[in-house]
Amino acid sequence: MIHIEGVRWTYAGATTPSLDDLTLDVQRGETVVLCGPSGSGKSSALRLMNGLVPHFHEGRLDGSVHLDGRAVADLSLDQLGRLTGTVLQHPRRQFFTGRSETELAFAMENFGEPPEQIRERVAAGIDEHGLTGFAGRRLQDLSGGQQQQVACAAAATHRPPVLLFDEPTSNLSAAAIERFTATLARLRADRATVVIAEHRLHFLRGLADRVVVLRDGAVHRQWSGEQFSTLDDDALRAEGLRSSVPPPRPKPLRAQGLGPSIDHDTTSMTASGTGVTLHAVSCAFHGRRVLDIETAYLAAGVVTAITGPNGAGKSTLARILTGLQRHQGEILLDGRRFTRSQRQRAGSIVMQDVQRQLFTDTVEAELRLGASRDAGQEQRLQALLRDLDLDPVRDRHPLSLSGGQQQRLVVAAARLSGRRIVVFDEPSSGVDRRHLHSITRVMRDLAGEGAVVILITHDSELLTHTADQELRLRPISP
Amino acid sequence: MTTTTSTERRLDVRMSPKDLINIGIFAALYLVVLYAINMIGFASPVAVLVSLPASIVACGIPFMLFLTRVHHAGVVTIFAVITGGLLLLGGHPPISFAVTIVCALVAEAILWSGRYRSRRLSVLAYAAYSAWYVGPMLPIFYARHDYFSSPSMQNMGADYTRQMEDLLSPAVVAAFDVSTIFFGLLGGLLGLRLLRKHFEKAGLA
Amino acid sequence: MTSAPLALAERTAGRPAGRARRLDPRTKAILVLASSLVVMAPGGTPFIPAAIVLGVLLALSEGAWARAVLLPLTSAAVAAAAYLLPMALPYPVIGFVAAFAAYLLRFAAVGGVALHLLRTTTPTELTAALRAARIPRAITTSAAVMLRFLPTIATEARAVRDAMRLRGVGGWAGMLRHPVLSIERFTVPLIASSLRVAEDLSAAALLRGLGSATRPTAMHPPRLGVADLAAVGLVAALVTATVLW
Repeated sequence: MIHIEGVRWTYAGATTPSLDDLTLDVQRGETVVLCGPSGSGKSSALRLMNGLVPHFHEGRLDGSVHLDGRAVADLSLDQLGRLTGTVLQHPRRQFFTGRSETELAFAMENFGEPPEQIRERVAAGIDEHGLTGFAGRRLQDLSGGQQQQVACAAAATHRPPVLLFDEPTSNLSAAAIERFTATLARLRADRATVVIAEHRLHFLRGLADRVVVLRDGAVHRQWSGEQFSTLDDDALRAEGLRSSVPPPRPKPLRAQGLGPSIDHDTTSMTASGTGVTLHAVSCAFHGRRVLDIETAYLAAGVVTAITGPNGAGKSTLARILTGLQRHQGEILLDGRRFTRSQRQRAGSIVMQDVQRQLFTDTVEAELRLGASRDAGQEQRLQALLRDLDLDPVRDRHPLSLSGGQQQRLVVAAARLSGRRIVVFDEPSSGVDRRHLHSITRVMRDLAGEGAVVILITHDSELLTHTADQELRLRPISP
Repeated sequence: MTTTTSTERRLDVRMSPKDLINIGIFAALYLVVLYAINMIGFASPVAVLVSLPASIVACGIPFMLFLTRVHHAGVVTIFAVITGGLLLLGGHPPISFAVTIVCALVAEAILWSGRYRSRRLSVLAYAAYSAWYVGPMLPIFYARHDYFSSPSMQNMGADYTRQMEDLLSPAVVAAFDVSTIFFGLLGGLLGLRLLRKHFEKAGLA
Repeated sequence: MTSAPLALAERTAGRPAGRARRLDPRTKAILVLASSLVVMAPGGTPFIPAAIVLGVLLALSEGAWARAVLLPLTSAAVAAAAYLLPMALPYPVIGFVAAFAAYLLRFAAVGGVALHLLRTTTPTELTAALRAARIPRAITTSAAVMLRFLPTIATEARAVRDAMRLRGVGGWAGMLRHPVLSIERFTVPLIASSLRVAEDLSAAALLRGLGSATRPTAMHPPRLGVADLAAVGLVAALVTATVLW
C-alpha cells in the first residue's frame, strides 16, 4: 500500500537531513507503529506518506514514495487527501469548523460529494465513532479525548484506505487512551491500513502488526507484533523508548482542598505553613461558574500536580495563582494577603505552546529578559544551559530551535526568574525521555528553593515521577 | 529522482491553495493586531491618538511578513477584499471598502514594478495600503451637511457652523491621510527590520 | 472603530429544527449592505430610525433581548451627544466630538443589523453562503481561512499578553516608554505562535481538499425561504414609512 524507497529528506533551512535512506513498506490492512526518540524522523515519515512532504513542507527530497501504486510526487495534496486520513498531534489545531457534524462533512464538501451522500456518511460517522453524546457541543469545549474521537471520525468519513496518526495519545487521559485503542481496533478490523507515530507504547500491545524503531531518519530495528509483546522494559529503554507496560497507578498525596471544584475529600485542614492558601476562591465566565474552591493549600517547597478533565478549571486556577485572572475570594502567601498584582510579579508560567513567550533574538538574551540579577545568577545560567542541552544553541534565535529546545528554553527562563510561583502547563507533550528527566529536575530544584511549583498534566508517568501531592479538580455540575 | 520545493515561484495570477490559505491566515493576523492595539484606544479619546498610529505601525509587521511569503499578483487585492469585506459586514461604510480596494490596487502596482520581490517597494506598498485608514472616517466629512443642516445645528448660529465646517474640511482629511501614509512607512520599515531580526532567523520569512 | 468581527458565533449551529425559520446568510448580508449603503450615504440621516427598528426586530427574532433594549438606548444617548450637547456647551472641541457622535449614530444603526449577521452565522455557514453567491474561489477560500483563524489568533493574542505581563514587559508604562519595543514584543510571539498553529491547520485543510479546483458542495446548502421573503417585505415597509414621513 505504502512503498518508500531510499528516501532522503532535508527541510529547507536545515543542515542535516531528517530522513536519511529510509526504506519501508506497509502492506494493505497492516497496522504499523513508528517509534523512536524525538528527532528520529517519525513525523517526517508520516508526512512522506500523506504527501505533506514534499508538497507542503519545503525542502529537498531524494528517493521514491508510492501510495497505492502511484508516485506521491505526481499527485496534488487534495488527491493525496482522498487516499489518506491524517490525525495530527493536537486535534483541536486541525479542526476547521466548530461542530462535529460540520467537521466530519468538511473533507467531503471540498471533494465536491453530493449533499445527500455527505449527510448519510456524516450520520454514520457520528454513530460509529461514538460521538452522539456530544455531537451538539462546540468542539473547543470538548475534552482532549473527545476531540481526538472527532478528529479520528473526521479523518475517516471520506473512507480513505490509509489512516495516519501522529502521537495520538500525547494529550490523552488513561480512559481516553482506552477509547482510542478501541477505535484503532475497529479500523484494523475494517482492513484499513494504519500507521501510528508514537512514543508511548503500552496501549499498542496486541494492536500493532509491526513496530518500527527509527533512528537518525532511517529504520533502526523492527519487531513483529508478537516479538513486541514479549519485550521487557529494559529492552525498550535501551532503544530510548518509553515504557510499554501501563505505569502503576500514581499515588501522590492529596493536596488539602475543599469545595465544589475539588474532586477528593480532604480529611482535615491543618494549619498551613509556607505556601499559598486560597479562601473562597471562585471564578465565572459569562455567568457560568468554572471554579469554586472553598479552601485549598498549596505548599511551598513541593511540586503540586493539578489534575482533572478538561473544563475542570485547571488553567483558570493557574491563571488565578499567577494573578492573570480576576476572581472572587482571597489568596494568601505565607499567611499574608497576596494581591493580584503581587502575584503577577511573583508568578511564572511555562505555557503549553511556548512560542507565545519567546520575545528576544538569542537564547541567552531570552534567559536574561526579566531574570533577577542577584549574585550566582550567571553561574546558574551557565549550568542550566548545559543541563538542559541548550549550550550548543546559545546564540541561535529562539524561534529557530526545535519544539523541544524551545520548551527547555522557557523552562530555563522560568528557573532563572526567581519567582515564588512557577506553573508548568503540560510540559511533557512531545518531549522524549531524557529531556523529560531534565525538566523534572528543574521542577525539583525550584521546589528545593522554596517555590510553589504547580504541574498541570495528564501524563501519569510524569505525575508519578515528579509530583509530591495532587490537587484533583472536577467540573462543577450546573 | 529529486524534488526540491521552495518559495521561489513564477509571477503567476493563479494562486495555489496554499497561497490562498496564507492570505487568510495573514488577514486574520492583521485584523487581530489592528483590533488588539485599538482596544487600548477605547479607554479614552486621547488614547485613540496613540493607538491609531500605533496600530498602523504594528500591522506593518504581519503585512511585511505576508509579502515575503506570497509572491503572486493579486495577493494584496484578495487580502483587501476579505479584510475590508468582513469590516463591511461588520457595519463599516461601503465607501471604506471602496477606498481599501483602491489602496490595495495602488499597493499591487507598486509591488508589480518590483516583480513582487523587492523589499523596499514592499515598504512603500504597505504605506500606500495604510491609506485605507481614512475610509471609515470619510462619512464624517462627506456627509457633514446632513449634520449641519439638522434643526439643532441651525440653532447654533452661522459662526459656529462655519467654524465646525472648517474643522471638517477636505484639507483635514488630506492631512489625516498623509499621516496614515507616514505611519504606514514607519510600520513597513519596522516590519522590514523585524524580518531580519526575527523572522528570517526563525525560518518564517 | 472595529466592530467586533471576532464574535462570529458557533452557538446557533447544530439546531436544524430552527433552520427553516432563520434567515439565509445571504439575506442577512444583503440587509447589512443595504442599510449601510442608505444610512452612510449623504442625506442618509432620515433612514437611521428605520435601520434601528430593523436592528431591534432582528435582535428580537434571535432572542437577543439585551441587544433589543440596548440598541435604541445607546442610539438615543449618542444622538443626544450629537445634537443636544453642542447647545449646552458651544465650544469647537465639543463640536468636534458631537460631529463624531453624529457619525457614530449612523455606525450604531448599521451595527445593529450587522450584529445579527455576526452573532447568528457560523463561519461555515457564511462560507457556504459566499460560495452560493458565486463569489470567486480565491476569495471564498481565503475568507474561510480568515474566519476560522480570527478566534484562534485572538486566543493567542491574549496568551501573549499574559506572558508579557508575567515577564514584566507588558503594561501601560512600558507601552508609553518604549512603544516600538512593546509592539515588537507583542507582535513577534503572536505571529510566531499563530503561524505554528496555522501550520497544522493548513496542512490538515489542504489534505482535506480546501482550495482545490473541485467545486465544493455543502452538506446543508443555503436555501431562501419564507423568512427571507418576510424580511424583504419588512424592509420595503420601513423604507416606505421613512420616505412618506
